[in-house]
Amino acid sequence: MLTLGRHTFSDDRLLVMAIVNRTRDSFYDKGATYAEDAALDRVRQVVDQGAEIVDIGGVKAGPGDVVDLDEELRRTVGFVARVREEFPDVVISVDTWRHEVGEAVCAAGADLLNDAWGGYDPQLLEVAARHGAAYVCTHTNGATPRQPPHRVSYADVVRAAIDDTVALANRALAAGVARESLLIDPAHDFEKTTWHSLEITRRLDEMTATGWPVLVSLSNKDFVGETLDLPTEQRLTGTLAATAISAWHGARVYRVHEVVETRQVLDMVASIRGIRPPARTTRALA
Amino acid sequence: MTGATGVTGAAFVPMTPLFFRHLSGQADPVAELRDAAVDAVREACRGAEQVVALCPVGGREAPGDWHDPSRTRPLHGAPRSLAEQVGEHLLELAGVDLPATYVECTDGEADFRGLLDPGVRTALVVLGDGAAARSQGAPGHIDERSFAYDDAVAAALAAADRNALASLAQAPEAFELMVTGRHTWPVAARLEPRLHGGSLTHRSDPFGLTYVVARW
Repeated sequence: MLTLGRHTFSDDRLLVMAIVNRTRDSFYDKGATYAEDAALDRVRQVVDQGAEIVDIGGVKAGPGDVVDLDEELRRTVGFVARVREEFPDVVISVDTWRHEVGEAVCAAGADLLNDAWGGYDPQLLEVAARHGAAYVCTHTNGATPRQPPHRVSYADVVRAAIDDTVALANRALAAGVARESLLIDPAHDFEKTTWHSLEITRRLDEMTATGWPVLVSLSNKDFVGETLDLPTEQRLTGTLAATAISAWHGARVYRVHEVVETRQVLDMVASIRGIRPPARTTRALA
Repeated sequence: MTGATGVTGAAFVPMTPLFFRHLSGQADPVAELRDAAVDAVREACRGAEQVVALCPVGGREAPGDWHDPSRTRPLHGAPRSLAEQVGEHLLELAGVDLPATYVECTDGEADFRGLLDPGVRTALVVLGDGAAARSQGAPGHIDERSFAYDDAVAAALAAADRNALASLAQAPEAFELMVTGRHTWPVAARLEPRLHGGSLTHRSDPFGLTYVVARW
């Protein structure tokens, strides 16, 4: 059982987390949903498409516009409240590393804190515990938020991702976050070369074997672009290939830009794995 | 029928694997058909002491060894016909808990009368489908003869006309139209004429293959 704030999901459900950026400069949407009304339209669209989770972010992951605490609060808190009011059944996640933001968005109705910078602010997991929110433990190898990777090196990147995320999960557990409300995320591209992200994908079964539910964030990232030599807007097919492999290895939550295509891939892989009945099968069975 | 002996009731039912609910995935395109078949089996078995199920075997439409394709691991064991497995499942769904004998029938040749103790009230479950060539996507594609053939079968079942039913089962087109009932209907028709009156309770062809449910 996975408990994400007010919502629970059985262990055989593969969940789609749709990205909703309230940023001007995120690499893929380039500010398309920066305006609050545009972001709300995006939420309406992805919920209609079947996303179980929306992941609201106020700060671009990589270098870009300076977004201080006040600006991040301005971009996220009121918007979370609007989404909560209009969509009581959707899981609201907020992508932040700052505990002050975590506190305010949880009070406004967030269910999940997606700590994409891996415990950089140690008080964030305490906020999750206090509010009964879920928490994502991300592998960033101790990076500073928004710092691009440079000459990173691991003896074994999969071992490092497992050790760091499980350690963070145990810290969150000790702080009072419920066991069924913790996810681990190997964080493709974060403090990683493309080679590292490919190996993480290839060996994701080692991460799922820990028993902690795994979240993957693959969508249109540079490791796909470098692998296929394709610009940002042409990475969907590669993203879906990585999605299929991750689903085969047992990842549970998929943070994505394209909901419909992802859902089809997840449904297909789940049926191949035998954890989802096909929609309607009559071929050669009449 | 209480007090009567020999065959006290018969249910004519299809043998589609889609009666196994899980096989069609999340959808259930044969729910109504299944309900009708289960009702017919339950009614035929009311007051009986044993069940004899007539099971078509022959041709790809009536496999003598059938394995559930949704299973995730290979199964090994004695071959079991599709019809026998469907018949057993329908009896389970109908809540019939009587001794049951499954008789393989091929081209109407089986003679099960030796199984019938005149002193034992016996329900008959007759598995079999009509023509399988009624649409482009049907197992036997389109053969225009299907329509008249199935109409005649439906009329024979509704009237409990055993001679007509046996004659239809043994007509050459029954083989060509992949009619699985050709294997069992003549066997049922050779019963001593204890049963009078018939009713056809369901007829449909959602996949270009005619399903009929009847009671005698």
